[in-house]
Amino acid sequence: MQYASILKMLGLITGVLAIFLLIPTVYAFVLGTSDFNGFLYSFIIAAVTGALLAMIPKSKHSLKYRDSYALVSFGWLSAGLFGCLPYFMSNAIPSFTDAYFESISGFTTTGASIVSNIEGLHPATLLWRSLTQWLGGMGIIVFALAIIPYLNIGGMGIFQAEVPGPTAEKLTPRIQDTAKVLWMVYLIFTVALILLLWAGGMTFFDAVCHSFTTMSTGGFSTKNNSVSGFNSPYIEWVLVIFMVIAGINFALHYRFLFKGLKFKTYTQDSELGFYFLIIIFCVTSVSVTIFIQQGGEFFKTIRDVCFSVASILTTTGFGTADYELWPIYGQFILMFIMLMGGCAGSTAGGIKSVRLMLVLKYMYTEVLKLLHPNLIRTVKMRHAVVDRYVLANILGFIFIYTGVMVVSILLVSFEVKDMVTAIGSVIASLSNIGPGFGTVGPTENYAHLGNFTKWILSLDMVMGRLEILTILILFLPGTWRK
Amino acid sequence: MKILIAGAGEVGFHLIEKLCKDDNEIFVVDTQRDVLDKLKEDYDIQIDHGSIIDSKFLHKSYLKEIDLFMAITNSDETNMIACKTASEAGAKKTICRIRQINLNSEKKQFSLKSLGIDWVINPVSLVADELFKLVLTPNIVDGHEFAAGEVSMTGYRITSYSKILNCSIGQLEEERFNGRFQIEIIQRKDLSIIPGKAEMIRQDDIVYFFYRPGDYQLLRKILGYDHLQSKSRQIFINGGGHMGLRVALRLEKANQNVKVIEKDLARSYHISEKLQKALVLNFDGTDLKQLIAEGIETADYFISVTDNEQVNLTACLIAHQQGVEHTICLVKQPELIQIIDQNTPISLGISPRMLTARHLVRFIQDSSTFNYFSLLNSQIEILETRVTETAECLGQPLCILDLPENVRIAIIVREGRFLIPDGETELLPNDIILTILHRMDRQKAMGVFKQPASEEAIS
Repeated sequence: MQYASILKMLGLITGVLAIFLLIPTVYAFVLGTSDFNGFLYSFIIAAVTGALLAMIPKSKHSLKYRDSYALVSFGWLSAGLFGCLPYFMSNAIPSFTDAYFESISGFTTTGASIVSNIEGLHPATLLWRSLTQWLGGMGIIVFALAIIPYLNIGGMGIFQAEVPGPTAEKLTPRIQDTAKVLWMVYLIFTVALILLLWAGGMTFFDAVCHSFTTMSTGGFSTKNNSVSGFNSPYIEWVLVIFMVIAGINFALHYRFLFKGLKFKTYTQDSELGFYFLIIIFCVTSVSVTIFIQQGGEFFKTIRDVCFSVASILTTTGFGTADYELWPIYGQFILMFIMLMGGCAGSTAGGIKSVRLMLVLKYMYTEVLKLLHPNLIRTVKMRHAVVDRYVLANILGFIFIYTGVMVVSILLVSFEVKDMVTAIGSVIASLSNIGPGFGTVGPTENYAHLGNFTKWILSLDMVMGRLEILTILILFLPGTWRK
Repeated sequence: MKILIAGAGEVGFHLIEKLCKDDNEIFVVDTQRDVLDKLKEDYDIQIDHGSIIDSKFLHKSYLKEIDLFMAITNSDETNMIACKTASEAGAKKTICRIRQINLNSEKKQFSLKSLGIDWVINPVSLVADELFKLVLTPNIVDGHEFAAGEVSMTGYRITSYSKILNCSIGQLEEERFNGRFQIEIIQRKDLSIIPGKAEMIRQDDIVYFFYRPGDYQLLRKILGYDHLQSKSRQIFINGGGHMGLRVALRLEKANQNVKVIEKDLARSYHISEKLQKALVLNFDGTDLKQLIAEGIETADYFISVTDNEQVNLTACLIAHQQGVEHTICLVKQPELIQIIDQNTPISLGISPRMLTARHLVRFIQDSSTFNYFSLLNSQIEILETRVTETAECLGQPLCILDLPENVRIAIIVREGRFLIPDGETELLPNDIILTILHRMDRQKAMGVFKQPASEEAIS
């Protein structure tokens, strides 16, 4: 382990975070609200820590893969730590466990909250909540890569460790440029969404906060009733569209926006086709079940189903309707798509549709091999062959994902009283969704859970965001050996 | 015409044999002395020993006068460089044989021109095209376009289920054709017939139709072949080399069920990466047990295209024995084709060298002033001529023209219109006429439509 290098880089990342902390600090100062002191102290702590660590001299050695993974893991854990300082110090959230949970839920774009009265928080605190999600969506470390050339020495390893999906795609020859264009695309969509929401009757402040949490598929709202608090079909439809966009691979968005605005970019992508197939299937089948079993107003139901499916599939977690009142079939569908998540390379969480698609293709191949014993067949995507080791990796990933889920459910069940809540909260945390089932459903929050459960769920969130292996590597003894 | 052939391999041999019969000056360049010496004994040609990409070669005086340069050595790179240097040295047209390098880009013509190549000939894709046609349009024997695409000619083999079987030509013209189609040649076994109205169409005749390209589907319908193209067939391809892969790719795109059998494991993986739907099976194509396990008896076609002709023959025989109706066998030596066709139960033999040579001969014809087209295995030719302003034949009814016996004016294309002439028709300047004739009569027929002293008539 290159401890010196890792600490120095952690310092740099913390420095970046400090700069972002300055935004709510200034905002609180302008508004003159009482949380100003909390933000100021947090800023000073982050800035000083960052500066001290950054002064560690440069190491001659380049980062190895394990160092990159360790750096990313610690980067996220420490971001959670510095991000929770404002909540804790301004007394908005007095318990440290709760503050850390809220902060890590923000950075990992989960959107699970322990705050019961969200509207009672100061605007600057609300802005910080949304900002943590926006930073976490495209990735703090990818952001740091884009602006700090020094981090390039760990380059691809760091990038691979943070960007979701089986293989990270390099869009430009230089990793730093890739990080820049990804953030550029992210920024363009965010600004577009702010303008659309603002035009639809939100205040500018609400528009900014919701854009941050939509594009990152986070799900923090500024209202107690989440998006239903605005009571506007326009806003709901705009959010549906942008949630779906945020669940698409940003590499595709980049090619579309910067390489000639051709819709072929989207229509030719097989993962995207699969993603839309799932959306269409879920929306129609759930709507039909609701109409048959419960009835209801046509347009309202369709809108609610579209919103919930988009919100859950992209792992955003905004709420308009209480899906726990839906038929059991609809709830199960939501639970399955919670696990699936969006596309690789998007800001969404979950297993990712590309992995599911490839596993299905692989299974088809295996069945075909039973029919033709001498068959030679490779799994393909976008007309290119998927490497056997990538397939093995995906199968392994799904297995480990399930394993972590089972272990977490067991640990959580020490404190949680009912089964649905235990399963729902773990899935919702691991897949970075937010609202789960049972007592952590769309109308409730996580405040009533025990401290131990909250720590387990916090760890699950980070694992889910970094796709588990990045974190698991820390538990291997070999990582720490000289 | 002065033709330079670089590379005296199998294709070269075949080509020289064909070209020598016409009035051509042929130069052959090769690096192998003994091959050249043998050629010189057999044919009336000029030989030159050396490498065509040698700088010495550039200074040869005859290079400037070459009308057609053919680079057909076994090396793609050599051929390409040779074409470049030859075109720069003054050769008028160049043909390049390319086997492996993929030049099929959107800007193909541009990139080829910049390389000094006028035409590319690719034996692998020729075989693939041929096999594709054999499977998807099994009744089509040959085809060509005339008058810059105004007239199409297609030769159909008439099968037992064709709707026009046992009809006379006069009857067909009256009842079915409406003046859209014209039958001018019938090939019956080894005999070529220029038929009259009373001629009956029999099974296994190859009938050549002339028509406007737009009427193609209608023709298939009249013949009763319209359902064949969309039918899905079960096709086994033995051998996943360049050819096997190319054919499989094309057939798979045409929604056919393709199974490729390849013995080599690494190669199997390689082709399975290229193919989308086709199944790649890793076993020896002569392994009877495995073939039965894969359901060989359900196959409509069995195509064997491995590098080894013995294997191909064996595999095809096995497939035939298992009840596959159509078996196609790839052989290297063109001489074997006749043996296969006549003495074995295998449906068809196909040789890349023969196809290449045949194709190259057509290039030569295309580039001359008169566009003439010789039918396969036949002495019959179709001559396309434009009537000049000063031709002798103007203003006379066709019946009094001094044409040799068995020369028939089949089609006249006048101002883009398709005209079937009779004895009373008179020719106008700039008419394009298609004449069916025996190759012996070619020179004489050309003279009638041109000025008598024209030197262009001799190609």
